[in-house]
Amino acid sequence: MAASTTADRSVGRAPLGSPAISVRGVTKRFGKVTAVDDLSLEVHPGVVTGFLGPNGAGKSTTLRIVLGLVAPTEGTATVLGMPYRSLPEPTKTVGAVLETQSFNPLRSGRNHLRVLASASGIPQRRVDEILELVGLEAAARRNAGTYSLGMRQRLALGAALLGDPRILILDEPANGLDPQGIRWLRDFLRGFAAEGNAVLVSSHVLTEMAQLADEAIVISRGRLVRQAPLSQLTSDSRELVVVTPEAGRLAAALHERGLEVATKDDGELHVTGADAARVGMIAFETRVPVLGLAEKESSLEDAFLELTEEDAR
Amino acid sequence: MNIQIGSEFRKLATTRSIYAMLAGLAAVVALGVVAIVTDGQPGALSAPLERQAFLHVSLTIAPLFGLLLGLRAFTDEFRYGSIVPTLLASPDRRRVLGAKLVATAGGGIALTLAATAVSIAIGAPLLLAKGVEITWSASAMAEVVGRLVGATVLWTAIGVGLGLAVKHQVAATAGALVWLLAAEGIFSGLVPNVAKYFPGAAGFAIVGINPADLLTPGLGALLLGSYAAVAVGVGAVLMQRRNIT
Repeated sequence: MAASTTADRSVGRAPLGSPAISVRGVTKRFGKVTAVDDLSLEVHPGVVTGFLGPNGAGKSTTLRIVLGLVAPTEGTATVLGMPYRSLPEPTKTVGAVLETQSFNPLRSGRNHLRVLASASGIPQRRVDEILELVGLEAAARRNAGTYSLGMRQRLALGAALLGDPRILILDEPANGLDPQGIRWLRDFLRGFAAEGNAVLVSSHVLTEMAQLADEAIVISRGRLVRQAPLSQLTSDSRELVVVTPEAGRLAAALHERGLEVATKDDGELHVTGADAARVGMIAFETRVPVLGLAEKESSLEDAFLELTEEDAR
Repeated sequence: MNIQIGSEFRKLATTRSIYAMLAGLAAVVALGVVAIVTDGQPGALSAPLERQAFLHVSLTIAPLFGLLLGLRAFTDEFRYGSIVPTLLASPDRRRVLGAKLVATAGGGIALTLAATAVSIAIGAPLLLAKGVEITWSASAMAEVVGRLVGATVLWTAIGVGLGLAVKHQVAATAGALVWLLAAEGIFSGLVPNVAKYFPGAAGFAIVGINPADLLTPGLGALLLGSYAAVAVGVGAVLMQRRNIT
């Protein structure tokens, strides 16, 4: 798979308007169930925006409202200032991957893309370019029903990229991708965003999101909880695990400098609100040996749980 | 609009089950024709080609396959979720509906011509083998085929509208077949006065089966066209509001 065929195309393109996607005061009720509740958010070009929330938080419904597939009960959703349905060439503006199974299983992957290309007035030769881009050339003539989950994701991503769009909307795209696939997707989305394009990618798998996104939009029960750079989200509740034979002295020193410290049973210290460099320096100044110093991996998950639990209360 | 129509034709042409349908239609027609001609009395068999009883097989079966083709136009897309990329590429839902009506009508015409061709290709040699002298009139044959094409196209539109309204493939197909193959017959027995206004009867009126009991072909076409308009209209209204989740 080649990571950038959009690169050469987008050279010299006009800058994308900002915000690329705007959701204003959107509420969606299905009968008595409120799936999305007065939600407002913006997606800007140049960064990968992660759309985070537990299952059932309203992520997919919001994405479908943006794409004109679901009509909001209240509020508006626009792409480059226009409702999706009014875009003159929608698939050349927005590429979307909503679910893996969105093809006739008895049609080949290549024919699936050919059908979609002809529906958007895209030349058929673009289909073969896309098959190569997403690494499906070898399976192109096989029925899509025989594809593995990862291949289906690639086919769906290929369909989204057919029109060489400036905005990508991806609903749980990493599902079913192997680690190489996720890395490829990350590099691809990073490169795509760096060219001045916009990406909105949803996920409930936080470690995945930590690798993919720059900006985070967190929703819970249909409401916006937080929109902030991902790094800020995690630094708020970043926890460092420090292993030292002199836990008592180090804890006191850290505490003196205003850091929150918890001493665990096994003698490990859990420090919140500082990075490894700062804690290391404090240990050095205090002349305490440090045997281990690590950021706790689940910190994003903690931040996420904290945010969404607060909302649930 | 031309873009959407092209895409819909490509969809039809790249779905393998369409070819299975075509093969199935050819097989049913071939069997029916063989059975009718081998059973036929010499007197009946001496009719001109366009009035041969064996053509009735196509006249009955081709519209039914047209209906099935129409039913699949939207129900396949709902079933496999491909309605999402379809609507992302063409967010104007009425335009998608229009394109599907055109493409399935084209498919219906192809089915009709195939069924007629198979009938004649098998029926005519069998007649010759039985020593029957074949006579035919090109204009009369064109009228028979033309009426059949008209009926089949209307049935594809009914299928498209019904499939769009019902959404669920099995439910829509089962409902349509139960009506045509059983319910319409039962109701016809209960209320014989209105029986000729049922859709199945209107379709037969167009192709000229049982002319004595049915409407004239023109009235039949008008009535079946009205059924098609209602089916497509209801489907269109529901589709316009529908949330694609």
